[in-house]
Amino acid sequence: MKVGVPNSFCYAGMENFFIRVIPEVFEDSQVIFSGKTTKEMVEYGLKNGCDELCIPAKIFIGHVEYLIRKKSVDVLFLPRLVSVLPSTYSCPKIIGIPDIIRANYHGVKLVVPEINLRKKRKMMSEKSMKNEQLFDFPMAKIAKVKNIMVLAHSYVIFDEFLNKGILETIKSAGYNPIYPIYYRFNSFYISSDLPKEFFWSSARDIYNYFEWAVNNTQINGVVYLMTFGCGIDSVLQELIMRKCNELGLPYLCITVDEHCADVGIQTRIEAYLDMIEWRTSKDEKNYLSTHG
Amino acid sequence: MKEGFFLGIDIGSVSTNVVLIDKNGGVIENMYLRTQGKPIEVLQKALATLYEKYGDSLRIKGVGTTGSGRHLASLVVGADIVKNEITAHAKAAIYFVPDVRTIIEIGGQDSKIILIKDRIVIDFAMNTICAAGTGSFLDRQAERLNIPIEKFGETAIKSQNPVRIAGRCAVFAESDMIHKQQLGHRCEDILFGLCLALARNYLTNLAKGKNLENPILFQGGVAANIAMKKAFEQLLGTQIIVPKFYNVMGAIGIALLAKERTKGLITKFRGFENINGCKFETKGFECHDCSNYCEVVGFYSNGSLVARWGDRCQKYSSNRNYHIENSKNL
Repeated sequence: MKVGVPNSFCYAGMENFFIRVIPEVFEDSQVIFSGKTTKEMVEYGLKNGCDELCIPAKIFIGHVEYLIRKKSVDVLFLPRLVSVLPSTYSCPKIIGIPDIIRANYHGVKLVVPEINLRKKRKMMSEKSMKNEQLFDFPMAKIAKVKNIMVLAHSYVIFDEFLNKGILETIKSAGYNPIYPIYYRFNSFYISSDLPKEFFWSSARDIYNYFEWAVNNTQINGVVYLMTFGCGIDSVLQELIMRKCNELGLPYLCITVDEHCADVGIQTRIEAYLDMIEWRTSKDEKNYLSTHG
Repeated sequence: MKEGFFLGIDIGSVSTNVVLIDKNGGVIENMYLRTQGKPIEVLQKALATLYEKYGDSLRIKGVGTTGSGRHLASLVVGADIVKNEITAHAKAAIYFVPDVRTIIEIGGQDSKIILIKDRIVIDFAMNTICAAGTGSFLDRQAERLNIPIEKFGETAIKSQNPVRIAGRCAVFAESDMIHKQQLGHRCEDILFGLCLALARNYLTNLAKGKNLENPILFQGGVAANIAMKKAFEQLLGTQIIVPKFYNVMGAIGIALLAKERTKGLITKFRGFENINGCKFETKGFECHDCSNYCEVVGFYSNGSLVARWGDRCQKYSSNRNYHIENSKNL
């Protein structure tokens, strides 16, 4: 049996988890991933997604269509990620994505187990539920100097199609991009300066990382990669922007959308890095840091 | 004419600007031409005009390109420096007004705000996906009302009672304008209302949460419009400076940067005769080797391939021969 798993959106980085879990669920199965986002998938997604969805969710629909059309999978394995971090919820679009797929594609078999850390009763074995084992992304290496913090959902940071290769652009300009990773962080850091913790797990994660990195690493600037139509980003971006203003950190917010050309993003990021360069060279002359 | 000069080229969506500065940074020539969708031809024409005027005595010591067509232009002329327009605009503004704190720049398809402190850029913002706050919007509305864009400012400034127009969206603004027109409002009142709407949109969109300190510079093609200047002054309640070379500031900035970059180096400039004698062409195709369907563009000079871009996997852009090897299959 061919079990298809779209590895984008909320299932990005869960490849190892799926390879481990799917043989437990299905007998004699073959796992088929949709792979990296391609333009073909984006086009499928834009055609089939409703306009209320954020751009990563639309692309996710494209991944699903690709699996159905090109890979002719027998069944789609889409766990419902209700809560993957204690006392939080996932974004409503993540929770509802199996239903969106069900409504869009009639006659396609879906297997939708629930992953919910808020419930006592668990649908999967205790071992595969631990969130360190749920997501597996390469960690960012933190350099001593010249770090640029890129904040976004992990599925944006690791999708080159969505972010137009921003990490590479930063690297080629001689800076080291650092970024948060889902659910790796909370085990050792709890945010202190928010009056109330975030309701959504990804937001809590990104904000905690931001706060930790500001206090514990030498960063030259913060870039927020916002995806068009994301509700969490719209709240989080504002909070982080205010915090950066307070700290005097250079801040740039880029909204990624369906744009095909990367020129707009390139211009902004180049200008931003120029600005940082300009600032630092001035600092060295005056022996004064503007970063506090 | 022997000391050598520096060339700055700014290719934008609407205008192509070429300036020539001398070694002291004085502006010798400045040209503001409409791009009209043919950036290479317009650039070649501008350079030919320069060459006709000065001949061989014009020694170019450095060239810089900026604007959205900067990479294309750099291939045509052989640029020493290729920089984004934000840095270029800031450079020029600081050069002319050293204590400048805020730059309002409105061009054809994008608008920017640049904040400066102690002669360095501390913050900037560019318009996002919408064109409601840019020059093409004014252009289009002027065309609809049958007023030449050059006359827009002087007509609008006569207004006594500007009408209120929603500036949040270009389409809604247009329907607002049509309604006001049908109610019988005077043309100048509608035009100035539009300027105010554009300025309001700019300030809420780009300048959101930012402190606009004096002195404020207004540059870019739209700064030619005196009514826009008045609209900004009214909303901000302060004086705004429009620099002398407001429409070619980007080109001046990049020329200054080229001057800095080429200090003690030999320029990569290809020479007027080489550029004007060449036939430049771009050819594009959609690659179907994988499901990404990249739009690959090739740049040819006199029929031979110079560069290629647009491919995600970089098999064309990194290997120039790939296409030739595979051309039989295409």
